[in-house]
Amino acid sequence: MNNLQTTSGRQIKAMLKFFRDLMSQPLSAIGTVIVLFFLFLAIFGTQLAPYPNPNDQSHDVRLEPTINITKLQLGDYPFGTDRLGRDVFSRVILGTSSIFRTAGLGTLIAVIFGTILGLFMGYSGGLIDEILGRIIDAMLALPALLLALVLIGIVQNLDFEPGTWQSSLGDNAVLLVIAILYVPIVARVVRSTTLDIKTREFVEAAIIRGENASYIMFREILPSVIPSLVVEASLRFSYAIFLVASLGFLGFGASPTSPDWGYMVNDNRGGFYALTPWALEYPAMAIALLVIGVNLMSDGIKRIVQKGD
Amino acid sequence: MSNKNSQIAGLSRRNFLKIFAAGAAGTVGSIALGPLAGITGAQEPGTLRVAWLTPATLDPRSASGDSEIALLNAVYDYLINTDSASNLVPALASSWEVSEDGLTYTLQIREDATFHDGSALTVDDVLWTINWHIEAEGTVAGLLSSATFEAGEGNTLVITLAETNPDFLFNLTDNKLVILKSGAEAIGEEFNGTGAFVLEEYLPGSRATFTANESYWDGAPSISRLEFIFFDDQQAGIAAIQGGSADVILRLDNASFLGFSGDTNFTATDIPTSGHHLVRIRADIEPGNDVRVRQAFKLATDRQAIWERIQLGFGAVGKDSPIGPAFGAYFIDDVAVPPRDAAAAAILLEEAGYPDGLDMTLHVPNSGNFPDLAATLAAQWEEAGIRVEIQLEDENAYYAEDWLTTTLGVTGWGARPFPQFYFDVAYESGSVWNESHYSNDRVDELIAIARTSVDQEERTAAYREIQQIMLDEGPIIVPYFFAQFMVTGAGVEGLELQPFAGRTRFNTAVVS
Amino acid sequence: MQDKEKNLLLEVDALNISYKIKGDWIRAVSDFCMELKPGQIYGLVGESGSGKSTIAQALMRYLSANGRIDHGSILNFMGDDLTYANPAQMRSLWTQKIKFVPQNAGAALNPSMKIGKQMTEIVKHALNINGKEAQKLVIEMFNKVQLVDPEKVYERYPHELSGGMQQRVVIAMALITDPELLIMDEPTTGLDVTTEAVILDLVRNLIAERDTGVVYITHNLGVVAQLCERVLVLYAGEVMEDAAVNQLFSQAFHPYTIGLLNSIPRPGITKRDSLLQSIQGSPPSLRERKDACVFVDRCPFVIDKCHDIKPGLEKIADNRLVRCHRWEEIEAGELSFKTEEALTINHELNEQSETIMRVDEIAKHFPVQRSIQNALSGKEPPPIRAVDGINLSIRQGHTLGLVGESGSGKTTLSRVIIGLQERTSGKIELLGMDIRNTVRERSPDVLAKIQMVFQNPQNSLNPYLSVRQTIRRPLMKLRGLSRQEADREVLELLQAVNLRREYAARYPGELSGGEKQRVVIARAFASDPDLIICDEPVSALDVSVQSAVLNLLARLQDENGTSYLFISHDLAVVGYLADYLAVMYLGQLFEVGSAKELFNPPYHPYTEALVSAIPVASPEVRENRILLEGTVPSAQNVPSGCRFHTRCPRKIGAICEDEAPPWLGDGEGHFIRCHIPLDELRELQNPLTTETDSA
Repeated sequence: MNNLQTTSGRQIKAMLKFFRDLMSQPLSAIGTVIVLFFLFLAIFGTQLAPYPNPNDQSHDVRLEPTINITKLQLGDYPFGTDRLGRDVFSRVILGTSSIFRTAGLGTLIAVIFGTILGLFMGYSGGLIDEILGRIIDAMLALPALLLALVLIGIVQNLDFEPGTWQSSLGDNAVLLVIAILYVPIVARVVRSTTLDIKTREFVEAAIIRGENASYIMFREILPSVIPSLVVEASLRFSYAIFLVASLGFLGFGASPTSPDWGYMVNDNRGGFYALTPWALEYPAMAIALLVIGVNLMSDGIKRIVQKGD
Repeated sequence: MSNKNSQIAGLSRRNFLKIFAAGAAGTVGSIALGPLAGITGAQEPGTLRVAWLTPATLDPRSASGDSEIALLNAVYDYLINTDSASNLVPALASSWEVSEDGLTYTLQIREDATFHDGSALTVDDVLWTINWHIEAEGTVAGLLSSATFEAGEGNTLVITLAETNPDFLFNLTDNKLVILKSGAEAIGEEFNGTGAFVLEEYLPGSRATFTANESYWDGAPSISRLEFIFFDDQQAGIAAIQGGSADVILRLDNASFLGFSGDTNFTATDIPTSGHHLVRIRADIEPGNDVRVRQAFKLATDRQAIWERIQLGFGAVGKDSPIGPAFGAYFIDDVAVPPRDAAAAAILLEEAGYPDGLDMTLHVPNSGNFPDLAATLAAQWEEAGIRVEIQLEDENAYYAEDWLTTTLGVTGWGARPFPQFYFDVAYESGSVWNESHYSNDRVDELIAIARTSVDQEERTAAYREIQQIMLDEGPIIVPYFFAQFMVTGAGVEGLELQPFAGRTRFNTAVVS
Repeated sequence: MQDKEKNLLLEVDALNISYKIKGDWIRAVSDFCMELKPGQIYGLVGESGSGKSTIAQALMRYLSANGRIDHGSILNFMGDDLTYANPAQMRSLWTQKIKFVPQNAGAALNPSMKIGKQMTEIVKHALNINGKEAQKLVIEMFNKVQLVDPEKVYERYPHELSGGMQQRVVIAMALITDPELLIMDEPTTGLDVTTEAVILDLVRNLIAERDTGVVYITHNLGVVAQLCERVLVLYAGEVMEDAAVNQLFSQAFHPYTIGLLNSIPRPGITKRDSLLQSIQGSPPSLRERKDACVFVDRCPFVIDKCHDIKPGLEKIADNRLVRCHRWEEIEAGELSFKTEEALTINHELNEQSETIMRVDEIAKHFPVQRSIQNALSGKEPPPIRAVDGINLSIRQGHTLGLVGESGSGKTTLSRVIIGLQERTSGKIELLGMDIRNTVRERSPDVLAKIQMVFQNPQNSLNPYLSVRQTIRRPLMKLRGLSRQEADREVLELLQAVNLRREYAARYPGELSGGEKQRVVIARAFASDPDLIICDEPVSALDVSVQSAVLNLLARLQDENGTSYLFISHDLAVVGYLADYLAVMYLGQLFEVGSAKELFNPPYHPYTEALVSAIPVASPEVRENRILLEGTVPSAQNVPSGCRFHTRCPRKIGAICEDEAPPWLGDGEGHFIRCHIPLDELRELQNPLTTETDSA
């Protein structure tokens, strides 16, 4: 492409503008800051956590949190230690990366496949659209968590040879489930936008040129789909985080040593809650904060995208 | 342990309640509505309310859980009971004699026991019950099939063994061996026993109520009514005790028990048991077939620390065999366990051909303390170069078959009144539950000796040697024996907690 | 002065309106003034962005939340100062005295309430009468606005009425309270030309009966000429000229007005007579306010003074206002528009050139889903016969204009020819070879030869592709050029459509409507087609831009020898560009002939009505118009015999209902399908074209 400079220069400018717009409204700014903060933790967690081994039990058990907000002090064990002597602060930080990875990758996969499916359905119409649409409706009729559990059950109960690619599927069951679960939702959104764009004259112009279906879908229709897709993707991300936490809470995708926030919440209920309430509260707060942050940010994205159109 | 507690010092009753209520309320689906509905929460004099988990089956052939055995224990009797020190206590068998050669047992069936329907207990009822179990071919059959049973003179039961078995009478104390009336029908649905209580009403999933059997052979119970309240999970039961809508709970988690320990409104009782958790490695395949590897695992483990963290100081520290302090003189109390030395463990591994350490999967049933135990083991072993990935398994699925085949796994063993049982089923070569596939000729010899020897000294020596071998190079690590817990509300006295909670007898309870 | 004020219905002076856009207050309208007398119809003419809708809203005191009337404006209604009136005060006025007729009639009606109910609500509230009386009044009003079967309409829901009927209802709603002031914002935009004629007539008659003052907002100078007494020309939020209609049309004083007048196609004038004048450039953005004349970038008479000093609105003789430094020179005739390089087409029409495309008995029927009733009774519902037997041929280098109103089937025909729709029957031949049904089945060569220019420039370009990418694609795909070759060709094409090279890197969002349309045209020409189908290519453009695009199309055809199938509902536009015309009604052709001839009798009665309905931008011509009754019948239930007989004002009798009319030719390529012989028609009909001398 000629003028590669200017084209990607445009794109960079557009992205900067997008970011500025996000930060211009107080609520969406808060949300974006929260998400970026957690993203930072996710990337640099192992460097930032005081005790980078999530199963480091070398500390005294059941120590109370030493964090002091008013004096802005962290202390030795800001979030205390749990009943096995692990630093809760480190574990919360380390847990960020796994939740981002699972929820983020899962959403990304769902978005990619959902977009392809939605474009295909919206563009083809007819019988294909009908049939696929019914399947999607059926999947969407079930509560997400229920469907997730069923899918996890299936994936986990398949016996795999360790070390094969199938077994790494099993390890990444939660990620896979998120992807499968959200493909239909993304497809629906993409499909409806596609149906709208399909009627525009520039698409007709492409048809008249004899462009094939995949050119029309990906080069003509897809760019116009992307704004609403971005909104949907960020919303899906927030749901995915919550779903990962819920599944972790139910014990899926997590082990007793991993710093999975949902697992930590479940793990510290009941009798243990009386002993070390902080071991439950801080992971729970992390989940809530991240979900709220992503939600606020996606509200902001939605506002920007819808105004722009 | 106390300075650990001081970190949560100052937990007054109000604080405790506050945190506790939050914790209990936060538990998903914890409050079962059934049993609490209609219960005012106030204690009625003469009534004892006991919190249990919901029983699944009340058929003596398959009943096994605390609540199931508890219910059977209330309406039926056993031939012989055990106490918390694992001594035999006469019940329906009022006395017994053993022949000199140890092959014949004569038990006197008491004359003053009557079934709730009024009929008297005879040895025929005992024989019928035993036959019923043998025909059912369940676990009881396995215990008794090596003997023959006959009625003797004067309402006695004569048992003839093929070979001596010093622990044989313990078999008669098995949880399932409640004595039924001969020819009983609808067993498990109708309950016509000789027990201290008569079943008044059983609402599955909700509660069971009993009235006292005034003509009980051991004396009428001090309480006039007994109520079992069923909960779906432990936390709900704990909340009930807390709130005063139940008087007794047997079986709690250590953390909750710790909370009750500091509260003067409740009586918290704990007794040591022979029940234990262990982690075992298969001794027949790599890497566990190399004794140095097994020793490396042992050296990398600090059992005392595990006991303190997981069991919170209740129960006792183990020494890598099924025999613990609960078994009194048998226990190698005087033998010191080598202190933890991760570096030495690593060296052993290197010698065994694993210079980079080991990467293994640790299979763990997903219930109770097991996940914590696994996490702590993983943390301790890591330093020695043993890196385990913890795989949580559904408990039922795990005990269906995986537990016998996995290379590295955690298992829980319930309390038994005598240690021979464990060796017979799990440590003798080829035994049915030999999960570690252990086979040591000397140990096999010693197990055989202990099984039949009536010489107490000989037995003790055999057990001690087994323990030493297993401590040195056996396939299991037993970090602790767990305790049995009981919490009673104000005004409840007279209960004697049994290692198997369901065997606790309520006829001695006094409610004021 | 006092006298005059008492007589004035509406006095507006120095009205400034601003909008808050992204935190800044931007001036949208400056120094607007108007004096409206009772009974006067005042036309407000402007293109998109001129501020006319803003003014309409301001007059109603109904600006949107981010708009405000700036300090210093005066807005007097019947002597009362409304400049800073609050909504409560206004509400009572809106109820009865000041009424508004919006552009989109359908949107003004509550879709969930029956028409009658909506009307009576208004009336009851406004005139304080009870339901029965209100109903009577409503029915009366419906009669006045010439709604057929007013009682039936009373019971209908808005969506059950046609566009024309909806508009009549809205007008009824406005007039029923006998308001003092009526503001009408482009009320006939979106209506067929024949319907528009009816509505205009209606408005004229109704107002004549009353004393209502009307502010009539439109972009169509022809409508103004037919309807209004005075006219005010707006540009970029400022008044350019204000005069009586006679004055303005006989001689306009402002260069903008002159440009507008010259850019309107007149029926009977074709591209070979003269190219249309157009106004270069586009309106300035609101943010760029300078101390210069707003028209400075586009004015052909611009001098330095225009850049430095903003001309004031001068009151000149005869109650006229002009905002121009050089109006006196214009009046004296000293200035005239510079002519474009070539004011005419170079090539004469080659009558014998090769036939590029022939269409034989093309039909397209849409099957209708069986309703339950039909399924039960076993009847197959009749299909929608959108296109029902069309024969056309186009020669190389010719433009065939296809005229039709909504419901005629012209759009469907274009889609069938281009291959977006599958035909039901008939043949299409391109350069003598049959071509297949749909795009999918046609070879790339064929695809390259037929291209299309669309109506809506907004949607005709992919907003995410640059101009270069858009034009390059057909070059590479259909003409097989390499990327470098294509890039070079892109620049050539841009030049051909009068866009500078810089435009290549721009995106559609940065282009104006006219610029977008040029890109669309460039794209169509990229594959070097033999035939381009233009489907209403200028209908969505402003008048001043329209002429530029039409000129462009004419020139490109002249240079490249491309044929056009030019489809439009606007007879004047088609008549300008086309060599031959075909008139389509309800799926069939009823008249075919050369453009010149079509505007002279004999006409088909339908054509006659169409031609007479054109609002001509000349106040002298207010003759008896042919107004068509009723609406276009449904294509599912095509009338028997001659399809037009249900509305034909010249229906002769039963034969029109029974027999389909034959094609009658005058021997010179002009054919009419009618039962009335041509000579008779010729006698009956008046020539309706005009030859006006405009400045």
